[in-house]
Amino acid sequence: MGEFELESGEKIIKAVRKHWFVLAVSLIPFAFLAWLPLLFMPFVHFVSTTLPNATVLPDFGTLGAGLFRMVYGLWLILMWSAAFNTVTRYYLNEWIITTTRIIEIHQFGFFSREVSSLLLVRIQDVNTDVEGLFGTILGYGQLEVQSAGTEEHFIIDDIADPQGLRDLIMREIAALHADGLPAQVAVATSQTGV
Amino acid sequence: MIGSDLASTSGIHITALPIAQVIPVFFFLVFFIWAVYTIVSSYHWLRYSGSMNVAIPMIMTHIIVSCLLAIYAVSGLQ
Repeated sequence: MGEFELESGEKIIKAVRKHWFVLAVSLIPFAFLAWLPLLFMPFVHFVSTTLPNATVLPDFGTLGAGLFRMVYGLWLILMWSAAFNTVTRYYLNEWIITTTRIIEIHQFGFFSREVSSLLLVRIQDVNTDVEGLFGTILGYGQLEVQSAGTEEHFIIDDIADPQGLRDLIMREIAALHADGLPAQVAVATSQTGV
Repeated sequence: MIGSDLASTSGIHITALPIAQVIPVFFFLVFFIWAVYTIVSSYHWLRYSGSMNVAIPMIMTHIIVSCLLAIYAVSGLQ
């Protein structure tokens, strides 16, 4: 990871992304749009054959399936690229739990990326929220971390097993307090006044 | 029938698109957009995915699927 440096003694516990079902749902529109031209094919054929002397549309009836295949193939390339873009954004958005902090990496778009950290010692409360039929069945939901700092809410949406992640964070916080604060955490806390 | 009536009664004259000239421009446009997108996307995968074991297969998948679709599209020109 070149985007953030781990402090001495800091270890990555877990890296999480949104649930795969969320990705699958976000890909459905592209599958529908890829199929859409097949739906309009009879309409285009009708218009092109009923306007023989004044056509602005390619006559698929006389030019055959070749032209349609070409246009449809290019359309599929555009749809595939758009879907791949969604997969890219899904993969590049992640949350990393370390022994001392939670790191949020948010990819808003190409060339727009934000990395933010929240120290575990500043966390006051961790809530989970699993809603809906699919969320309950597939076990994904929201994790809300409330900190003592100016940023009161740190929300992780649509992650798999939010309860497990909450337990993991609480265990790490307990371990931090049991072992005594590591040096870098102690410095950070004294600087922020927490 | 309905369309031809409409065209004759309204007096609208619309020339047909010169498909032979439009097709190469259209192909070039799509290829240009795809190439820029692929370069930018590959950069992000290689730079930020954190693992070459994931980035390389994803980029290869994108290129292979795109090439297959391009072959499908080009086959329509014959």
